[in-house]
Amino acid sequence: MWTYILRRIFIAIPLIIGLATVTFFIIHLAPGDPMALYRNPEISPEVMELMRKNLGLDQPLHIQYVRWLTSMARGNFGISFTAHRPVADILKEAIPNTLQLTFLALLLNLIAGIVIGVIAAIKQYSAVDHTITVSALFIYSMPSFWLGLMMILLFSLLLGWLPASQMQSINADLFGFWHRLWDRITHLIMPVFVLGIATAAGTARFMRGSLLEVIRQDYIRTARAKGLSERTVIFKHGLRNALIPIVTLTGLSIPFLLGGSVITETIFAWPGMGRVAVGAIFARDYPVVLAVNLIAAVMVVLGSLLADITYSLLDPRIRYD
Amino acid sequence: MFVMNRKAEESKGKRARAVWASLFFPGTGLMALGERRLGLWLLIPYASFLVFTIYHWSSVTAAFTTGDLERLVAALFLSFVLAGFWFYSLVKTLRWDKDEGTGMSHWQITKSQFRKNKPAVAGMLVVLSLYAVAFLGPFLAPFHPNAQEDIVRSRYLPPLAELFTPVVTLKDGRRIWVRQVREVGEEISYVPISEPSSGDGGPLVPEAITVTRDQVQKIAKTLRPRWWNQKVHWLGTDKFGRDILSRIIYGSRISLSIGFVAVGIAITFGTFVGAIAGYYGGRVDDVIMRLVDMILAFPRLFLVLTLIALFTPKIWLIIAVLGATGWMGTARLVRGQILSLKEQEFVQAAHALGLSIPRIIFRHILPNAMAPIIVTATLRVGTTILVAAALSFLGLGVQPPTASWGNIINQGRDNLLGAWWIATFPGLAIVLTVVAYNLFGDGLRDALDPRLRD
Amino acid sequence: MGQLLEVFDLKTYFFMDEGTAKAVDGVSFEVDKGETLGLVGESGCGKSVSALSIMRLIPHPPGKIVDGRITLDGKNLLELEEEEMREIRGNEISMIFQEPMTSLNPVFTCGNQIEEAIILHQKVSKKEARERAIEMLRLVGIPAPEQRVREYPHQLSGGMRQRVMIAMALSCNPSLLLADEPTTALDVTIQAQILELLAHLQRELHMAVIMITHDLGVIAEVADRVAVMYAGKIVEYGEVHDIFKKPGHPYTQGLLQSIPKLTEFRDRLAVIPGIVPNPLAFPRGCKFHPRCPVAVDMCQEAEPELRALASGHWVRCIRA
Repeated sequence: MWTYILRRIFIAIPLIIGLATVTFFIIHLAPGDPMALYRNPEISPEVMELMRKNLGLDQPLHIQYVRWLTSMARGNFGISFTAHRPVADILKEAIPNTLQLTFLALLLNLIAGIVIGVIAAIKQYSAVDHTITVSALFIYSMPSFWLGLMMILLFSLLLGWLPASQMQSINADLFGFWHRLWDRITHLIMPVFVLGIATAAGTARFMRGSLLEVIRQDYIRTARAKGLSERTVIFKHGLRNALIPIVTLTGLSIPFLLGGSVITETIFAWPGMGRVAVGAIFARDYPVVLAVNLIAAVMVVLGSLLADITYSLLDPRIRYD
Repeated sequence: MFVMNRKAEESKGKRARAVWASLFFPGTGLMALGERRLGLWLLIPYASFLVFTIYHWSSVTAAFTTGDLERLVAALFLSFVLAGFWFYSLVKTLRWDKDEGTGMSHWQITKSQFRKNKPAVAGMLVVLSLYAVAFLGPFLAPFHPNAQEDIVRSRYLPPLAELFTPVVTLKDGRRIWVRQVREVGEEISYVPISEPSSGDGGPLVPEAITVTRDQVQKIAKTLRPRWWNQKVHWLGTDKFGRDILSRIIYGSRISLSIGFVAVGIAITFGTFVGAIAGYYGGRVDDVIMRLVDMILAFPRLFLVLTLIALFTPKIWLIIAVLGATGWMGTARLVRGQILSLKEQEFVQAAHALGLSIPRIIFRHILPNAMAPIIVTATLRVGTTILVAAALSFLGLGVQPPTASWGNIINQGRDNLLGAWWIATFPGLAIVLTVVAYNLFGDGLRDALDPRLRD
Repeated sequence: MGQLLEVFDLKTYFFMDEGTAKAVDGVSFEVDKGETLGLVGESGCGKSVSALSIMRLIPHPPGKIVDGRITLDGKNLLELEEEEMREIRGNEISMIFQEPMTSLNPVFTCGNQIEEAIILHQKVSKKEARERAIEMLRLVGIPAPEQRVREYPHQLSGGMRQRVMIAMALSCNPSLLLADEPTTALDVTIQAQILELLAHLQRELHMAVIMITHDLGVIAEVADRVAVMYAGKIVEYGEVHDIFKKPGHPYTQGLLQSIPKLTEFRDRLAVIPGIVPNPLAFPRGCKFHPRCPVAVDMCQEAEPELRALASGHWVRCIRA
């Protein structure tokens, strides 16, 4: 198992360096000059030139690339063109917020997806199963930004049950711990739901198929022939096998969740990476765009690495290879 | 012998009558010959399109003379659809007893499998109708998508609202749409506004005109809407007084074409790359597949946003970027297919015959890998439409005032509580489209290759 | 020796969109304590469905036992509650299957899967169950059982896995073992070992065995009595030496002729012409008549009843 994990890690490292390269060159393919942002009659051309120099934009492309790669390896992502702060600082504030959101969405994805998928499989072809299948179809065919707006309309504007935006109430710092926790939970409900529900629908659909596939296997018949109860047969022998492909699916859903966070964070004004990315993209803030892309990609790589390791733990056929 | 002859003659006469029937009413001939189902499937859409054409006859004929490209395309579409149904039905009637089965071909099995899947057939019909709506937009939309009518009165109208606009006749005989501004005794003052069917916004600083009361009433009466009044704002208006239904109809062209074309590009490119990687193998395969891994590591939306923001958002750019970020899955799929097909006898035989490599790939290998490619393409259109809508929503898609489903929803955010209809209906349109595509794709998958399930 | 199992007029049908498949249609046989009954027939003749019916493991829907009686030690299994039936499965009646590669759960260790049945039926502690599992593995001839017990199925060869299956089936001392083609998927040399092992264990544990196979060679080796099945019905039933010496039914004769013999020189093996009939559309009359070399017009009209050819030797054929 350790050789397997090590091998996976060794594949991941060049992948990450490759990602850095791809990001850098994609950005510099673009026409348009980030300095255009500062072009202003009140700033003299000399000052512009100086700023260009300070930001390193006067250097040839390959020098910029090498400089960027080495500083990135040291965790230095440069200075934001617009915020005039180190990119690392901006991200340090944003990343935990995004992780909080995506992690909870991932949890929702797994729990709701598995539970609903198992129910649908056990009650195959019943009304419950059909309802679940149809709702799942509609949910993953739904644009998340629209679902978010509809939820805000219903739960915030019409019913007033949940806050429409931000991570916490304005005066949250004055609350006691429990009150603050509750405040955070109410702010989390809608974004987490909107972010996680589409992948949960996909997971449920997949889980249903996976469990039904497993139930047809010979070893399930063996388990029944032993005299085990149907519950044990399905939940011990069936579920354990059916969950294995779900792990891979979860690994694959990480890029979707991170991509979805752009939309969710924009709608709910959640101060995370996605919102930083959208702001930076509109402002042509290259260092920030580069860093956000790279970090998102690295998260995806780490996520799939984690999924592979979990897979190897669940499936003895890999564990003992 | 005699009996045989009479039978043959009878069936000949029957066919001749059927051909005549098909000449005038496509499908009826087939129904007469016993192909009831196929006949109905041809007759019903033909009849609907025909009724539509007759109803909009004046606009359709006008479309060929005025220089309006959109209307011309719509009119041409109508003509082609009608001609297509007519021709197909005629050919089917003429060849009625010729294609009587010598067993079921692979294609026929697929077709009958697909037909049994009712949701999938429904999905396909919805998809086709959506494209028809998109093409016929100029005839179907009750308003021009950018027409504002009398903005003071027409903004934020709820669904089913009707706006009656007075019309006055000027001395030179022109009739213009007006809004009342003042009323003194018998005399009423109006300002002219733009006509609801045009998108020009009307004069910026309108000059007031004054007419007497009975002059207005007379004309307003003649223009009173008929009972099937088209000028109802079925889905309400936005803050500029533009009709939401019309904007959704016009926006469908953007969303549907982006999804379709971008997937077309992605699938073509992905098939090409995957075929090369799979066929040549070795170093080429390694390099291509590592690249695929890398691009797949980026969350697609991040990558798309970055690429689009680097340039100015134009529709062709959005299509190109969505195509450029969507080919990796296809490349992997095709590569796998080719790796397994490459070893099969018929490919080895093609080699032995000395056929060129591109010929082997495109003539002998790819056609055999087509089924899963078509299935993924269909299922991919749905997700691509979602991504394109998300881009529009973020303001990086098609730029206003051109309508797209995403940007209508985005504009709905401004007044979500007061004008819920703006954001709600385009969203439903997206859901309908994507659900239809997914049902269609699932059905294709089940029919073409049951092994592809989940 | 007393009677252990009696199957009487068992009917198991599968209800499908295309029609009803009468997979087992009025099958009766009995098994004495310690005896081996061979159930022979081509694939699809209903022999596996008969065995699964005894276990009451017919997948429902679409399958259902519609009629009959299955009596084990005096109790009718078809009248038991599902819970009571679970007490019997793996405890009094065990079953081993054709595919050792897929019949073991890949994510649990072999020991774990054997212990599961022991803990369930014998109400012993985990530790005792483990000891018993090791003992069972030793009994079925697996070397180093203390180590094997911790291994996963994919780490074992096909023959070893079938031994594990046997150990699992026998762990609760069943009085009846249903062996559904236990050697078909194995290499020829392994087949002989497994058959020998089964015969040895049967003597040791005094259990009855129903050996399901399409291979008359296997039957000749292990069975005391034979039931030949064709299209959901028993067509011949009797002592093994009667059937091998004087096969009454043309189908049995055909089966016997298709076994290669070393003592005889033939250009090609005799085969039974035609194919197994589609269970959704059985032919009228005797179901074997379209393939029968000696069929007469009468065979098309009514299905013959089982009749005694000699004492204890029954045949369903008017020509025998």
